[in-house]
Amino acid sequence: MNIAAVLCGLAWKSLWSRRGTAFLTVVSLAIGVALVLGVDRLREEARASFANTVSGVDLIVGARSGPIALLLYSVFRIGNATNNISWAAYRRIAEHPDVAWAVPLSLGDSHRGYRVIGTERGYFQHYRFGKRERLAFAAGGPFEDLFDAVLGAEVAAALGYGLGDNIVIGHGLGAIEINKHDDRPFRVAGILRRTGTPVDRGVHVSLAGIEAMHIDWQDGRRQGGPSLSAERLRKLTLRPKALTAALIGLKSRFAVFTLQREINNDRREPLLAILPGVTLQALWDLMSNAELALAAIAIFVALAAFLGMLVMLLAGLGERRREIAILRAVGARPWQVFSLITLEAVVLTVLGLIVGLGLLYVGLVLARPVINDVYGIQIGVRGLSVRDLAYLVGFLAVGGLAGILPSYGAYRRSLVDGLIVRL
Amino acid sequence: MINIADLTFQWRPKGPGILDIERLSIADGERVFLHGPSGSGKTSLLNLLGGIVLPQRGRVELLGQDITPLSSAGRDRFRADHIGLIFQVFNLLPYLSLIENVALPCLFSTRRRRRAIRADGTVAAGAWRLLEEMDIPPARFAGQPVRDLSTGQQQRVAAARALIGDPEIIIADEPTSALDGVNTELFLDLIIQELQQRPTTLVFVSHDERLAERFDRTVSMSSLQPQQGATS
Ligand SMILES: Nc1ncnc2c1ncn2[C@@H]1O[C@H](COP(=O)(O)OP(=O)(O)OP(=O)(O)O)[C@@H](O)[C@H]1O
Ligand SMILES: [Mg+2]
Repeated sequence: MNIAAVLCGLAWKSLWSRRGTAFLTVVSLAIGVALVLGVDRLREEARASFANTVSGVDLIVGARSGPIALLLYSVFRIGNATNNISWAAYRRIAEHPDVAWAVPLSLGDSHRGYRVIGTERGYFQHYRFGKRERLAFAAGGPFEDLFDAVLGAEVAAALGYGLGDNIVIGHGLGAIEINKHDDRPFRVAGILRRTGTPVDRGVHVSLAGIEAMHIDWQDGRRQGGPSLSAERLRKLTLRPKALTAALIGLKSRFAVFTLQREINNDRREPLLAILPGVTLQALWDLMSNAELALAAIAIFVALAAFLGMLVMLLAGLGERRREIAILRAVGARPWQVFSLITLEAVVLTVLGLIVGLGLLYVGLVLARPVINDVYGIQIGVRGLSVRDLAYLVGFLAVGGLAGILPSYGAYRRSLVDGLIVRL
Repeated sequence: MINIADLTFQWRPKGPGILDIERLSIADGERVFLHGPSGSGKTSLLNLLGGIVLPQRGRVELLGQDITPLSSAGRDRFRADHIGLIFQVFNLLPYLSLIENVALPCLFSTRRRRRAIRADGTVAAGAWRLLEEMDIPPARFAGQPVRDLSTGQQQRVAAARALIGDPEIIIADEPTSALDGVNTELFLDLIIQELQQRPTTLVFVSHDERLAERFDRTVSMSSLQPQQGATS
């Protein structure tokens, strides 16, 4: 019989006999583990999700505000623009000799809580996500008619829309629109494939479409008089006076800083051009303190749990002196007494890790839709990464270390007490 | 056979001298009753015999082998293989079953496991038989936690554990001091009857000199100590 198996068996039976306290210890370890892994995973996934959202765009141009705000509202659809850029300014940039393509974005309307993006057909051609993947259509195609709309995958799935359905677009961004442009419904012309980016949550229409639904509306309220019919609107040439932002692709990336400077120094209009990658980095830097604080809290919770385990094992030692004497009497060596307690710590830690992983995944599955709804950040429920495994190994090491103090106590006892423990 | 010669022992390097024994010889199969006042060093002597502690001077010869030069692992092993121990109280691990408690020495000693298997087929069968002989029929008691057994029953379980795998030496440190008269008699009857069939050496410590008549020989601590060194 193998002594390791004997010790494991004894450690397990001893823990089982104290399963009440052991259970609480395991639960607190599990919470610590789930928190640390969860915070880490949220950070990683948020970063990956952000980094995947936009690729192949060299510059983003908007009205002058903070670079991070511009990045957030133009690409991630978080927050709102406070100012617009003029159509003229957009055209000037689009026609710049260094610019290969430009895609205008007009935001500010919504459909049942999903944002409406007024843009041009170039959006479907030039927008890239992930590893420079293009947008693809699951059904239909880009908008053709004034009242055509292209839905992101999630919008279509969540609202159960199919090609040809009519949808009513409201003004403003609330989940419930008070001012509905319901006299001019849009028709679903295309549905995009899932991208795992905020594109999935967008309703795309042409710039002219946006204009059409705002005609004879002012300051968000309907003007008096009979409204123009859809047929008459189709005959008008509708052109926006202002845009929210524009995505720019350059012929040569070397021109990026020159053009950025040029736009930022434009005398005619206060504009802001940002490099998405650089601004994303600035966003991480901004968030890193918060992330650090969150990670620190999680780690302290985990350490407190390990401390709890240490207290449980140490407190048990007093009443286990006789047990140790009995084991010594039947031939257990001091190091075996030591390992017995360490094994208990390791068993508790391993159980804590297993339960913690369970909590993590249950938590992720539950939190996923909420996080996606509120922040548009996609949290993948993936397996364990090398990083996660490193954490787990780390926890195991800390658990073993936390076991060393009580183990050493037991070891000392076994040498000092001798065979007979006085009462 | 147990042989102690020219031995001095103290627990702490600068502490009081506890034992100073010129000579103590116990023959194979002899049943010795060891008595002495509290603090006279009886338990300390048993610790020495068990190889838990080492004397500052002198030899501790068990079964013809001086255990003092052995490493601590060697002494632990020697104890596991050749010595069965019974304590005054609380002999059982509460988280093991009745049978597991009796079989415990066989987890730490291959020799005792082999001997138990040779005698009874399996360790569990050996434990079962010994428990029956100690009047704790497992058929009746195995289902309940060992801490529910009475003190007298627990002491008899401890005796069964000391006996399993047939060690050459059994050391009992006041095993009956927590028992009433009837239970003490029963315990002694059973263990002496059990040892009748074997050449096992028994060292039995007790305050109660009335028990001495049931043993081959009585040794008093004062007779071992030339000067009354121990104080407490
Ligand atoms: N583990 C130990 N560590 C330090 N000192 C000890 C230890 N065990 C015993 N002593 C000391 O050794 C001396 C002898 O004690 P011991 O327990 O051997 O006496 P005893 O004859 O068994 O007494 P009792 O009849 O009360 O059990 C005492 O002074 C005691 O304080
Ligand atoms: Mg004693």
